[in-house]
Amino acid sequence: MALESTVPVMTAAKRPARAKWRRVFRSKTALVGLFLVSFWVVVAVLAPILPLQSPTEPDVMAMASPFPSATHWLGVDILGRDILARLIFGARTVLLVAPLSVAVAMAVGIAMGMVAGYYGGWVDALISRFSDIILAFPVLVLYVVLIANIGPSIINIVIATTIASAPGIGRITRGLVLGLKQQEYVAAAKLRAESTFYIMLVELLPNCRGMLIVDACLRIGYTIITIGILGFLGLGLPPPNPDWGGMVKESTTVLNVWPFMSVEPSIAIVSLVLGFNLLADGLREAWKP
Amino acid sequence: MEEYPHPKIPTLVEELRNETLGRREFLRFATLLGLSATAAYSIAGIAMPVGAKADDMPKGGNLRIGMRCMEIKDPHLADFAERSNVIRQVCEYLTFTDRNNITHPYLLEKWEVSDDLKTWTLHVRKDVKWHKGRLLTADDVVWNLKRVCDPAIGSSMLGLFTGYLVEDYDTGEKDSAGNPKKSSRLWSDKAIEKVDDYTVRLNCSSPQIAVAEHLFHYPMFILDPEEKGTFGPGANGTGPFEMTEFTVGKNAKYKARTDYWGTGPYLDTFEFVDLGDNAGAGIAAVASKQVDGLSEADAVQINSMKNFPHVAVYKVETTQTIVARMHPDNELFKDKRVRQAMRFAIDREKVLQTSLLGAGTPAEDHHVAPSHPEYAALPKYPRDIEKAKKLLADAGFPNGFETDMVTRPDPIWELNTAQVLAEQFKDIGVKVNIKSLPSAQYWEVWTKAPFSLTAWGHRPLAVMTLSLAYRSNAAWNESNYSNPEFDKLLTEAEGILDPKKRSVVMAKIEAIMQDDGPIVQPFWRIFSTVMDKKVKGFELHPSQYIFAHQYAIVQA
Amino acid sequence: MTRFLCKRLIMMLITMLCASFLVFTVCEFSPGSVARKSLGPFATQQQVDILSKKLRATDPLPVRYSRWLGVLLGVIPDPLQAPDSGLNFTDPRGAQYFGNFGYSTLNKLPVNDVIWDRLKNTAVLAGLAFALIVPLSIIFGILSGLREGGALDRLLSVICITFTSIPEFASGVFLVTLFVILWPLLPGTSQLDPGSGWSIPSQLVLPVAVLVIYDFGYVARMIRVSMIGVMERPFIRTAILKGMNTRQVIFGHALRNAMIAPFTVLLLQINFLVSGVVVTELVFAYPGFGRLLLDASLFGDIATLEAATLVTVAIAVTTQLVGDLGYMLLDPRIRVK
Repeated sequence: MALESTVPVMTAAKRPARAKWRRVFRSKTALVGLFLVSFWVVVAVLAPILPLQSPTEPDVMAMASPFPSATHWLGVDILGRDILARLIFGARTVLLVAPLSVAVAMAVGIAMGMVAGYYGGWVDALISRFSDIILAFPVLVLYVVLIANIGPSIINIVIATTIASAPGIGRITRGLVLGLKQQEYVAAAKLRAESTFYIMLVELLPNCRGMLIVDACLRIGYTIITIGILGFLGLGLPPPNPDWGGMVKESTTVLNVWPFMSVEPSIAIVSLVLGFNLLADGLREAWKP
Repeated sequence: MEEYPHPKIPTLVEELRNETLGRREFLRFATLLGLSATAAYSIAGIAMPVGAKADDMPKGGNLRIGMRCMEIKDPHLADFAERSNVIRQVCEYLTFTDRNNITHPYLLEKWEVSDDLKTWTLHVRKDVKWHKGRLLTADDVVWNLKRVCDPAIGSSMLGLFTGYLVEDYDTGEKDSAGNPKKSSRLWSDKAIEKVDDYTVRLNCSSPQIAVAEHLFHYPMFILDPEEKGTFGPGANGTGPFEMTEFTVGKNAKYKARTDYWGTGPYLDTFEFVDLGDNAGAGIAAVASKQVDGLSEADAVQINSMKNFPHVAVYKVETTQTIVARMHPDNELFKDKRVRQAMRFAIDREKVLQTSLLGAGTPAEDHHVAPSHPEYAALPKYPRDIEKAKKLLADAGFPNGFETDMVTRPDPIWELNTAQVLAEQFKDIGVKVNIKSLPSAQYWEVWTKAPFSLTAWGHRPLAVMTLSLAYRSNAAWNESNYSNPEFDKLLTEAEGILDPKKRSVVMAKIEAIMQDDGPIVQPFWRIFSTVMDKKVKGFELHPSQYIFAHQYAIVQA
Repeated sequence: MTRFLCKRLIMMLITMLCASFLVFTVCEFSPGSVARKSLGPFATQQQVDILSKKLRATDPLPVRYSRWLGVLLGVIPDPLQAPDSGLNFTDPRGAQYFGNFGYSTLNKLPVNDVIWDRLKNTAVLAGLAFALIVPLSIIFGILSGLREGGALDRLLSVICITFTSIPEFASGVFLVTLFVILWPLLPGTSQLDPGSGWSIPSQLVLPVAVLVIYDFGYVARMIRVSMIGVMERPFIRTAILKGMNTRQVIFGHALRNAMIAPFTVLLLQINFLVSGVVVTELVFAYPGFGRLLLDASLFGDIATLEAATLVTVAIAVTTQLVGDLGYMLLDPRIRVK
């Protein structure tokens, strides 16, 4: 009953892995995306050794004129904390939580989709019904209800993302598996009496890889936005963890005098999400059959 | 010699003359004892602050003020300033304490006190009309007073009246833990008695000076007995406006009465507009003139709005404050040296500058403000990290410790203060994890969390807050603080009329709080807001009360 | 067809039941009893305990859930409205009727008095946004997909991808700075209040703009992909080679085929617009459904939350159904079993 995805499924011939990745580098879109993402990753990883101000210590002297200056390259926020440092340390949190959440969601979703697509029958029906219920919830509602009730923390955000995203991933996987399971190499593996687990992991999964990686990139981008939204709603990670969404929330009252306080974290979010979106797009282009 | 309404007044006058009594004290006590404000000001030799003359005020127009519109159940249960403001335009109080802490009669014409301060005779004004028609009588007043003394209603007035109108007693039943259940009741059938149609007498079990002030506490509205404590659009009241519309989370609309007994109202209509939780919305609304002003605006918002050409900024010093309070019965905070260390850990000026942009004055950890009449000055102590660390080490925490601090995300200055304090506690080795809970969850746990940041509202007298917050077993004693010496001194202070003698006792109380008390108190807050320049007659009351009948709009 | 519809209707009911049960369970984790929330933070513990006992709040979860369900179906009267609870909660429609969502502890009003107005407001916003998103995304998507890789495609794609990377709160805050504070052209909040000096349409401009900016890019990308796929199909190529007028080809054949898949995507945007607008409503103080949901979640107002959930789920399932039906109609090759 589910509507199949319109993106073409990988055909039987497995493409050599190296050629696959080489084609990525020929896509300009993917390269730009990769650059944006890598920029933040590198900056986040190097954060502890970079010569930065403290992201949590207020600088009272700077508050008189919080604009960007020699000591504070991006200025300070309403509590006098260096914005550049907060952006970089905030990147650490975001780049930890978003990919982690999506990875867990992927694992759960792929498992669900594989099982549903491969076995079919009542297993498929059960998993699909369950997915439908979760998918009927608008994503944001789910997040807000969950986080408002179980509290904001990294674990809880991972849980919320998994619950919200896994069914969607499962659906995509299921669709792919349905298409793939008729292929000869699957039949060959069955004849060889390989275990189901082996078939799923070794024969099916690699062929879904492309689609799923693209989807993962998009989802990471979307999760970053969601984490930003949670921060903006006041449901973000507790202070004083620099939280990009929280930074925008804190500065809404000073838009007309110090607009840079909300523009700078916004640009950070946009650039990172854009990076993942471009990467996803470039990958999709590069891997088209 | 003039005839004074009370025998104690000549004593006060004499003390004023030989300067053992300050002028502010004199004004407050003399008016509490029934002397008219005019007379009191003239004896004290100060010009009485004169409000705008009624004739000068332009008539007509509609005023819109941005303020949260919360649900209202029973006016006698009002617990937030915003709630009382919604009701305040329709219903009124027997007295009125102005921003200088002077209490005037309002729905009362005047009052008389016996020499022993135990019998209060309240004379009700004869010209007050309910907007549904009839006149205000003593019956109405008696009904209202008796109602708030009923524990089943749950009004916080009960706490204020306990000790002189109301007593605790053992009901004879036991609760689930086997402890005797206590309840409250009027100490005598004659505690509140009607003398005639316009006179009510309070017969108290013990002397009480502040009766008139208590009658202005924000839940003490005078309601129509027929409405049995409900409130909504069209509710009956003696006040200057009728409420025409009320939607929680959206707005409250009022229409002016033409037969109001007092001065004003000058506006035709008046509105509160709820702008939601987003702090930026208030500024955006003022910028685009969708509201004419806000009921409150913190220092950061003021900073953004002060350059709008069409608004004026208003400020008032208050005894609003915030305390980081610890449970002395908790493992971590048991030793008083730990609590002292926490007090030595903070840099008050810095907290003030960062979270309030300097709009406030530093506080001294004992919840008595320099503007409180009973304040006794103690030597101030600066931030001392070394000393704090040593105190911690002596108490058994040489490497500091880690703890959670509960707070709420709105208003944002509270969260900002939490963050700044947490930074400073880090310097003595105490790692504080801030738990910011949405309002509803916060109020569930505000008394139970071992370490929490709580904002306290303005009170004209320090002893009011001290008895609400730190007396053993008080209703709002969130710190579970229980010190018999403190309680004894507090009761003593409440009974002393002479401010000089009281200061001595207060000094001891303050010293106990600084030594043994449960709080770290960084500052007293200046309360501020903005209002369109076309609004006349607007004044900020330190308790955030809004009196719309005093405001007028200059039509362009 | 009727069997198909019946089956889907039953599925919808089951989905709504499960969703409401899930929400009930999740709300278990939030602190705070219904009694405490009804009475307020300063009520004495004694009063809270009395009310809790009256509401039988310590019953096990399934029992309380069935009770809520019973109230909703009109089988039992709402315990919060019982006159002896002392809460003065009254519903002009009575305490027992079908569709009784109960009493909102946050707003101190029957849920039915709160929810439908807000839904209407959000529907206005969503409707306007939708009306703009459909043409914008179709134009962008078709133009991009016509010549994949061409200059126009590159330009439009960059615009689309960039806009989908801007979260609503960022664009909202940015637009407010520009059009309210720097150049006071538009009102800063959108309370839908005609008395504030700004016309209602002017109050809708910014919130709708924020929604459209965020969403149209995503749909446009979907349409683009579909269009590219269609343009490569043999029958299109044949038509062009045969010398048919390009415009005829596009409008006659390509478009219709290209729209099949995005049709569902467009419908799914309705879901997003109805409840994902929470951020936009917060920024502009818009009295909408999203904010209601947010406030109810933060406060723990279970009655309103459940009602809002049911409504959202119902909308979601209905749009899915309409999508499937439309898909069946548009593409004769697909017949859903």
